[in-house]
Amino acid sequence: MTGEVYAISRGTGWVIVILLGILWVALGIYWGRRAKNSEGFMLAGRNVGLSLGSATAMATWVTSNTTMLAPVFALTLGVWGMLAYSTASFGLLLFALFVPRIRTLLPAGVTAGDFFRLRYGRCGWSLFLIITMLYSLSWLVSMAIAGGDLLEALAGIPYLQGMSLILIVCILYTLFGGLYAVIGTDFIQSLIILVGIVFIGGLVIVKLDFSTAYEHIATYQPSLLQIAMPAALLAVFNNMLFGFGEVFHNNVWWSRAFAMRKEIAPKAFFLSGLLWFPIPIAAGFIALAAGPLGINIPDENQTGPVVASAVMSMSGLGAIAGVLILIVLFCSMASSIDSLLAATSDLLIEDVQKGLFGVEIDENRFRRSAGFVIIGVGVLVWILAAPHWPIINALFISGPLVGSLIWPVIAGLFWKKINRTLVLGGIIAGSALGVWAYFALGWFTASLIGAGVSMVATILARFISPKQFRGAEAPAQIH
Amino acid sequence: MTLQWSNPERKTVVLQQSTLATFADPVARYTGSEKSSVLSGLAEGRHYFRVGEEGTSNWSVPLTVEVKFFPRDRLFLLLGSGAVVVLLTMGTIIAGALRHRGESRA
Repeated sequence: MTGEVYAISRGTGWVIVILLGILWVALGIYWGRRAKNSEGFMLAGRNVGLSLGSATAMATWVTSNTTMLAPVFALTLGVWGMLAYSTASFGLLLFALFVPRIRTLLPAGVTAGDFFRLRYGRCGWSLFLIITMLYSLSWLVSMAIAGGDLLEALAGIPYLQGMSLILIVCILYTLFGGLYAVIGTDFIQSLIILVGIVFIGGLVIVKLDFSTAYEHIATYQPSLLQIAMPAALLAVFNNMLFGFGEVFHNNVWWSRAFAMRKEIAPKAFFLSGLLWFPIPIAAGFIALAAGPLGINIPDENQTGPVVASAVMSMSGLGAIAGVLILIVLFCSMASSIDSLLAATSDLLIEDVQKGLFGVEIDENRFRRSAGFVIIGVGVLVWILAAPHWPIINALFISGPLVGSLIWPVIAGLFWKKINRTLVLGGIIAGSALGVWAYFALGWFTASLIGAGVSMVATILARFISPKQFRGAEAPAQIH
Repeated sequence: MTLQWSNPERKTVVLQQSTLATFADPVARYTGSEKSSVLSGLAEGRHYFRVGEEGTSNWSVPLTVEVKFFPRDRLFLLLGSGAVVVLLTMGTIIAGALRHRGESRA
């Protein structure tokens, strides 16, 4: 895994990624034929059922961070770290409770921006756009970087080539098929991810003697078993609130809420949360087995692939270890990159092009315009990912920013009146203090501080000079 | 934390850990030809590390690592705040969703 020794040959790596790429693009073109108009392209005709709906939500939430970072959480924060990562699923479980209200409030809604415009006016909507663009771009770029790193680590494919390849594949099938293609491929990708993680987790269970493993960890890594490990305990609340902020505000989830059939959408989100919950635990469990199984981890960021590869080699599956890991991780990245590409492009078309600049796009020109935006976002991501900057830090720093949007979303959905100025002040104060906490106190406090400050401001805004919200409106009336 | 050392010839090296500066009670944390190792879960306190070629007594200059946890008073304050924020958030969402369901039925 390090130096010049790779789990699979460069040729095998290229063949796997190109074959998977052809498969996703072909399926994207096939499913994309169903998108007859803009609503079909952006919201899959608002007719997505339970199985596809829950699979797409789960697969989107299984990002490169889940498969690569959950093992790092377990390795550095122990049992609490695994649970902390899993609490991100609570965001999906709670979003299920939002959906009926979202569909009532915005029966013809298209993006999360529609909600912020309706509830918080142009100023709140602009603030939302800045935060969500920062977050979405850093998420997209970090996954493109993770894809390039993965292909380099597993197959020795140069970073720039691997990163470009993964990005091109995702851009192509999103371009041809819109949300139909994204949801369809997500379904297959979610099955591959689940089977892969369960299979590797099963191998670890077979290989591991649990009493010896406990003894080893208690001797050499005692803090990992400690109930009162401060960073790990704080990570539970911090990660949970980061997850709430990510899910509650981002258009990836709102577009799915609009795309699913009204009666099944809450069930689909709830089911996806339940299905997602054990994935970080399984991925983290694999990492905890490293010490007891005598596996050296030379680079923290490669914890998952290194341990999975070593365990499969111990089980006599060394030859296919790299192939399986590459397929599972490629699927986890593609399933999130495509969703974010589609949702961010929708936001740029609906909120920036139409909402901000007032440029109306007729149905005949929509696909062409959407294509330009998707390619534009892809090119921007490539430009930001090419220098291999540590963008993952930008994603983590965005935790307090998205955390400070939690309460404004809740209040906007369920309350009848509010003091908008105070809420928007709370978002700014929460974001600023959360970023300060990130550097001054530690990453494991940032989202908590951001969400907490914004919560206090939002609660005060309910009682200090509140004004009635406008009722449910169609997007056309909101602009 | 990640410990790194130079090993250009990829010789078999041993990474030792001890709680004593004299390495009177060493434990081998890694034996192999890699050039780095990630260590986690160390107990609070002072730990010493050294690396050397297997079978020889040529050890590197010891590295001292001091592990200190987040201050307990600040921890409990933040944990309490975290619990309040999370419980209020969940409670408000559940209450809002139930109210919406009631209104929809009515």
